[in-house]
Amino acid sequence: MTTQAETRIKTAGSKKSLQTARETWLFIKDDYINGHTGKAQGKPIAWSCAAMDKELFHCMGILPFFPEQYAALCATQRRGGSRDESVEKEAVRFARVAEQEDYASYICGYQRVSTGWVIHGLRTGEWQDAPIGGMPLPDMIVTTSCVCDVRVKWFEDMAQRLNVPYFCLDRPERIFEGITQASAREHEVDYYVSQVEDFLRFAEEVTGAKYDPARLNECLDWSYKTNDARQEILELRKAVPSPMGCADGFGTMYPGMYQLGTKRCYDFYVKLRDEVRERVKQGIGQIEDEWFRLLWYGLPTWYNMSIFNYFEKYGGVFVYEPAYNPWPWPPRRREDPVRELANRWLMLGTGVGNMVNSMLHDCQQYKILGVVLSYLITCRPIVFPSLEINHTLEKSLGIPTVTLEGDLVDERLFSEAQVYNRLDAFAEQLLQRAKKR
Amino acid sequence: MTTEFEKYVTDRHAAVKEWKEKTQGKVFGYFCCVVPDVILFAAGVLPVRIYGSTDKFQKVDGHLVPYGCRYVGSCLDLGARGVYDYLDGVVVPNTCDLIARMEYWWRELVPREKSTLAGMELCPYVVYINYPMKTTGPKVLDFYTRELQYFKQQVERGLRIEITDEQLNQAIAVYNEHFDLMNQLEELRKRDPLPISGKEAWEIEYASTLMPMDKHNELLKKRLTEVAKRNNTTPGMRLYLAGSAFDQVNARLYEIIEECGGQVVAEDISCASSYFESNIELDSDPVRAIAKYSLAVDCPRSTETCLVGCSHIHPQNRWQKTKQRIEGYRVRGAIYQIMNYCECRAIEYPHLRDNIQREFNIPVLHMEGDYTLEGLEQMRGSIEAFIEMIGG
Repeated sequence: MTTQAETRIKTAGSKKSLQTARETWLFIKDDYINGHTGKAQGKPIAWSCAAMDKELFHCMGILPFFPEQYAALCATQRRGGSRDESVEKEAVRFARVAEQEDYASYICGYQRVSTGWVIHGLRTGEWQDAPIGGMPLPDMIVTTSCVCDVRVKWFEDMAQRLNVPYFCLDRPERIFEGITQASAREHEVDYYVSQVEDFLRFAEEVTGAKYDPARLNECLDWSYKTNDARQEILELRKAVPSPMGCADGFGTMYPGMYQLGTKRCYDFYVKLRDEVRERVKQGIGQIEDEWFRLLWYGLPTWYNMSIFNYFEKYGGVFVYEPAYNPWPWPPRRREDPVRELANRWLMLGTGVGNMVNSMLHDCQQYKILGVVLSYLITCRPIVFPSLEINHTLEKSLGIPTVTLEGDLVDERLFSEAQVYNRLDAFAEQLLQRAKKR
Repeated sequence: MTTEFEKYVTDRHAAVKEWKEKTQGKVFGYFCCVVPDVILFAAGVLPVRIYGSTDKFQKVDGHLVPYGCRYVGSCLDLGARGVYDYLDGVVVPNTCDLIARMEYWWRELVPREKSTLAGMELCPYVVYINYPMKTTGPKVLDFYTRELQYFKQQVERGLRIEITDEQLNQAIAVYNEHFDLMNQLEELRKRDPLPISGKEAWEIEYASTLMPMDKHNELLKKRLTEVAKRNNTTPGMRLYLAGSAFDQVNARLYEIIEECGGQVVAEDISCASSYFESNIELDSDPVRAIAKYSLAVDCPRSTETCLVGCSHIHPQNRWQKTKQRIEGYRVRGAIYQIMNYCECRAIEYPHLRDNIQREFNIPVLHMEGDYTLEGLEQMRGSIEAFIEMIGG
């Protein structure tokens, strides 16, 4: 795999349309401040990941931190907060540490960056020599089997290095062709319920905190309200002109992905929804003259979020990104909140057919003219279906796609000239199609 | 003279087709060691492991991205080209991100006519098994037993047969005999001087994934008697070999190692070695017994987590198994050949390397494979230097 170790890539943050999106950083910063303060006060800290039920942490007073999110944060920062482009990004520095330890360069960038930081911390003791002072160190590491293999092996590996208790919440990997499937098989639900119950016992043992179903119900109440608000936002984003693009979408995913089940998370999305609602009411779009609408498939290039504004000079806007978004959940089930969680998650499938069908659906719903496939070399579950998506969109809807190779957080794999060259050609193609309509 | 084992190594497709022609039996292909092939054997089906080849991809380039395991891509390409048309069914377990997706691609690229009732495909050509990622802990066995009951039912429906407990128990007895025989082979490999080469041992193991197990047992018994009596010894630096999917392509590495003055005496190669580490315990419910055995298969993708009651103790499942594999074989070096994009092995490697060096005080060589003979040939220089270094 070729890397561009010696060249400095011109990367930048995105230009967001929404005020609430600009405030996400404060939300994140507060979490890190609270985490470090909490750690000093003896509050339990867990390291975990997306697709884990965050309400389980919140209902037990455990403060969760997320190595994948931290790796993304490292992709945006240079050492000591420097703005000097000759200073490499922190993500690159830590990825190098991992690679020197013989972790292959084709492994997920999230893994290399966070593991690199762990190795650096263990070697030097200088954990805070990292963006935002690093994550508070964990009392336990908790992962889930869904999404990808890497997150299981990576978390197991970190737990071994840090010598902290490790738990994997195993979730049956369901494969079906539809976008969601309301009914899981009974033994799959029973199994996931047993996994959550086992986790609760584990967390009680490690942290001394007590699980209280009433408290979990409170957290789930906040989650459901949040989910409703987020779904309304997704509905509003279908409007023409586009009121909220992918820069804002990715920029505001943190509270919903990582702090679900809290009032502050709910408040954040209510504010966001109100802002988007107002823009739709007033007909305010991301740009003044919207010619064509794009969808971003996959995860973002966290080191270069300005890519989401790239098409604006051509009259193009990214209007939707399927990653990180919620889906309509089954009704609340207060008498058995753990089973409710199981039913909620097991609606989702991970098969290729499932992802292809989702894309067909989303492209029609959001009036998409072209799709950018974020062809993340190091994120295999995302990249695997990309050629199938490409064929199917072209064949079924006549929607063209363009692929961009790269990593989530390691900008050495991003070829700036090639990427922008491809995007320019793609923009011309879409513009001509838009003018013919 | 070509032995029966070698016949399966040199042309497995012809050997399996010959079996099918002669017996008029059914053949199911499967991916990975965790698949409960014993259930298929009980059904009178010949279970054959799906392997790839060195052929250039012809059918899958427009579907599979280049950033995935080439071995799996090659298996699919052979399927799409009709090379595996003799298969009456394909079993896909959820054992890594790419293998799990073979459920989709095999259906799409190797199509068979579907027969549906009430919109449901009752006997699918491709059968998916949801293998748990976490192989220990409460309810894991219950869940997986249900999965295998469902799998058994799909096979029964597909073939219009019933697989009785008696048939399952008979099949379990054949498989247990196989595990015992393979353990005897392993004991011979611990001897110094060594009576059997690594390549020959691999051939025996590989053939067991392609031929009826009772026949394999018969042949293996004879071979074991012959090997135990051998006077000529197999020279070479005793080495441990680990890596992804050692089928007949990657097995070229055994020869290269031997040509460089080494000899593989123990391994962890995702072929079948994880098989015979435990027997299938007889149980009143044979499906549950098979599930228990299948969960004990040592797959790099699986995990074990700290258990309630001893949450501070790391199970270290992969290291414990690696240690067991090396102990007693008088190994003087370890070679890891991890195929590109095999992330589970790539992530665990630094930890295993450190532990091997610490525990056994032996050097470890790491090479990245690309599932080509050229790539394997390029490793020759590093292997030569590694063996020379150990020899001093």
